[in-house]
Amino acid sequence: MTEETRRFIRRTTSSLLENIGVLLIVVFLFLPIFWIFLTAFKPPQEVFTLSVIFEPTLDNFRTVFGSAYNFGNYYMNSTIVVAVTLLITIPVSIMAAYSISRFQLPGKNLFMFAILATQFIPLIVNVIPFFVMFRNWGILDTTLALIIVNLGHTIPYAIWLIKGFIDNIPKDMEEAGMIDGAGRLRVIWHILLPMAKPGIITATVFCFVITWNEFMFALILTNQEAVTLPVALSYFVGQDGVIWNEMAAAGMVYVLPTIIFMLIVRKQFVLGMSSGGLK
Amino acid sequence: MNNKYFKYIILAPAVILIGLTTLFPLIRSLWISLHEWDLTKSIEIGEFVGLGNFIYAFSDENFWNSVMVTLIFTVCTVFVTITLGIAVGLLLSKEKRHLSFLRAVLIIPFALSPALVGYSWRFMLNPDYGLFDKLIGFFIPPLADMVWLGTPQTALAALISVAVWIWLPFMSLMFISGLMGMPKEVFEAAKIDGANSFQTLFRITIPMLQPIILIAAILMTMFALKQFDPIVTLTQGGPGNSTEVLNFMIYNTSFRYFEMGYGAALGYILAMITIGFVLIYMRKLVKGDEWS
Repeated sequence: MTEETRRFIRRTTSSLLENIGVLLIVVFLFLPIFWIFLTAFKPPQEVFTLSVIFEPTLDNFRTVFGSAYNFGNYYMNSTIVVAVTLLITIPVSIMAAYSISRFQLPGKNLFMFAILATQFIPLIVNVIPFFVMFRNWGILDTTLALIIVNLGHTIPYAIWLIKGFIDNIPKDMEEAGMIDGAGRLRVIWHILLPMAKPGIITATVFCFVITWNEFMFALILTNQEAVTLPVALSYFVGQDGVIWNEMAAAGMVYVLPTIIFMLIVRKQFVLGMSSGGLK
Repeated sequence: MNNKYFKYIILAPAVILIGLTTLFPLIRSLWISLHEWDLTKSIEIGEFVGLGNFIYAFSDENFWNSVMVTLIFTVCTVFVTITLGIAVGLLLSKEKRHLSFLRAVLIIPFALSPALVGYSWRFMLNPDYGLFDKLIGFFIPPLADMVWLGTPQTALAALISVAVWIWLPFMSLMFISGLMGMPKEVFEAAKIDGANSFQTLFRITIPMLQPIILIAAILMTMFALKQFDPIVTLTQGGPGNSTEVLNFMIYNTSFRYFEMGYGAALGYILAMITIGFVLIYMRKLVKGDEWS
């Protein structure tokens, strides 16, 4: 065997091994998603088989949104919780991030560290006093309760993410604007915000994902009226086991918005998360 | 507007909201942890017991079981996720068209709800009709009749796999962006010097990845210690209490048995464990010496 053929064999084996590796990753990560996707379209008699060829049906989706489950209600609850949480979180965090990034403030490093440190303490510890308070105030099982608890979770993350982006915008841009006679608010609105847009979008999507998928608070603080989508999934667990095809259909409509959002901001998201961890 | 007050005015809403939604409950919770409080008996906070709840934990068998489960779960999850994450990073960071597509969709599993993921895996691990159960049985026949969620060891292994499944895409993306940002000259130089792929990997690539590995380890440890959704949806802490991690034990203690004081105390113990882990990593990060 010549040196050339030996090298050829080595190169082919290593590229073969690489391709097998990539294939294994794809199977491990995407087969479960594919399987749930298929199950969502399966008629009941096919659910407990491994068949991939069947006549797809939309019945499961109809049942999910029908009167038996009323998934539309939970969709509404989730939407309200996420929308209000974001509407409060994002402006509040932008203002705070701007203030911390641009001004001398006593103890601002301590503040940034403290809001990060609160994330070390398991969130369930926060929920214990809230549960008691909400019970006393009679607001258990309302979307308001979920919004309040979510805010403590989203604002620290959003401040960290947005501050990182504002730090990278040169101060000169704003100063130039102010020399031209524009007020600070106008400068922020017309110069800073457009430049910080990628950071703001990243923070919005990130906060969207954590509140949209938030499970623990919803499990503890709601039981009927204000139940959100992730908790509502458990309603497909009946006495005779789980109705998998309907749960899969519910799961598909539930995750669709997140997938779309995440694909939009994929790049900034990874950057934001890893640089946020760095500081 | 006066600059002097402007910076405080725009900071105030965040400070007030964080104070009310995070700081206040944390302090309140610390106060509760120093009391005996059974919510089924009284809605008023009970007797002050000082560190009683914390001391009680050390004689509580369930607590020690939980600590063990938590440590096994966390160490395995962090180790497997990061090792696989680096491997995936190496495989997917090449400049090829189909790989760049794969990189783009890699975030999808991470975006899914962990609760849904837990249920989906329960479906696929079912011994009668589960896809994974059948696949494993096909490739490794001795494991064909395994009831994955039925025995303590396999249930914990299943839970670790699910946690890895959830976090692997995100960790891989971190490593991919790290690997793709590395200067190509170093690798070319190594090639010219005749280094084989193993030498390149362990002498060049991994040392250069070290800061990212540390950040990944910190994030991953924090996430693993707080894992909740897959446990509720996949194993419910069972069989027995073999998958009852501390976070889940706190939930059970506080919201199934309504022992608020003890639950809060356990929460602070978990916080201390988390901080302990992070301090170990921080020392590595500050020293910046060799990762071994």
